[in-house]
Amino acid sequence: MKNMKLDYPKKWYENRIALEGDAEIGAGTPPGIQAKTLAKSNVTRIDTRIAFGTFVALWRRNRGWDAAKLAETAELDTEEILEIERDPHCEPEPDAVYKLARVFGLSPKPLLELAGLIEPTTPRLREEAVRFAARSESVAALNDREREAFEAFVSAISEPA
Amino acid sequence: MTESRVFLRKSETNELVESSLLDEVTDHHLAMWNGSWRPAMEAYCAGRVLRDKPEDHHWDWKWKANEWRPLLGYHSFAIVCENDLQGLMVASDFKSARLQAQFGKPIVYVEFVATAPWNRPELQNPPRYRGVGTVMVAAAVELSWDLGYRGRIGLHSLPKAEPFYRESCGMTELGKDAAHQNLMYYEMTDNQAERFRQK
Amino acid sequence: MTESDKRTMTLNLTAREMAVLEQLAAAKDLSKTGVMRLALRLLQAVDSKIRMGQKLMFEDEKSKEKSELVLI
Repeated sequence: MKNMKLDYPKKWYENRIALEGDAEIGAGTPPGIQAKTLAKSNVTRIDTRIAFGTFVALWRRNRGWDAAKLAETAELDTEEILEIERDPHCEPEPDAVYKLARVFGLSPKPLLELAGLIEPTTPRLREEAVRFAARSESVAALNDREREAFEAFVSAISEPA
Repeated sequence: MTESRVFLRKSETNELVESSLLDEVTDHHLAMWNGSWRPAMEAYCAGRVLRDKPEDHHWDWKWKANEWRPLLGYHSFAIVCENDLQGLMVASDFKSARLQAQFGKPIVYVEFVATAPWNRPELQNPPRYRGVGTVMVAAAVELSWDLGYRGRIGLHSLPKAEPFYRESCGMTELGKDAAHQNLMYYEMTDNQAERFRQK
Repeated sequence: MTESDKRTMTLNLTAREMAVLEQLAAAKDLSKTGVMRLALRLLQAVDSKIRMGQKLMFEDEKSKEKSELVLI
């Protein structure tokens, strides 16, 4: 609806703003963020995060994309992509994980789990992640072994929980 | 798009300054968000761990705009004062009240609302302007009146904002909602809305 | 409602549909036009979610049992 008009006297604002004081006023969660999947606590799991970073790097290399191309497609900064790929101590923003999930065509939930942003509930996720990270190395082109590991991991995290 | 004349209190002079409430968030507003609000938030968050960042630090208004813009049931609002964006809100009009006294009746539900980083005492003290929350709640109540919902509104408050909705706005607290990140859910009845408009 | 560029249409409803409309208008504390406009906005919002690949689910508050409402 358009054309909504607010027409309160100046005195009203004076009284009401005094009541507001220095209070915080934020409310809600933006549409699109699956609020209930975001845990309150930050679960730090370096091992799954290594797998998350490796997965992001291999996904784009499998496409022949550089980090800038993935960043542009996902509407993220290149630096953020590189940080996710290379620094398992870096905690990705939930929004960045949602954007990557959208580009990858995957459900955000297992990726949020890998990124350590929610408690893992996907069966065998951690075992699969460690196995995947151990079998993959960040070298220039995907070799057959890496491709096989990558594809097996995609199918493992694509299974319904 | 309609512009309403509203007021915010400027800390520097302690005077009420004329501001604009727009009943549509335009690309121009999103460009302002991208150009000043977002960098200010990023600068504050740099080097801070997650628990010390503002609860809405990851909200990306630009990215979400295309999801709600084409929909009749969503209404967006922006407050502009002295050529900068001071607050943003998106509300929907097809959700139903949970409070027993008005159960099942439609409400204006505040999907999300936030004030610019420089208006938050937690980030900048004193804040540049006060009153963004008041203007946005007034806008939600007014929209509810316009739709024939008699001023009924509902929202999930971020934890630090609970006193504002409970005490300053006089809304009824209905408990934490497991389906919404355990945020506290509040509703304003038609009587509470009437009091809010009169005060 | 202050929107200026309104259009008017005649709506033909069966007696049962009209009875439901009147019952909803009473329950929702809205005019019949208000109910029709609410229904339109709700349908558009649901339809847009489904087009984006999302499902419309109902959850029983007590048993937490979920059921999907299939619209297409």
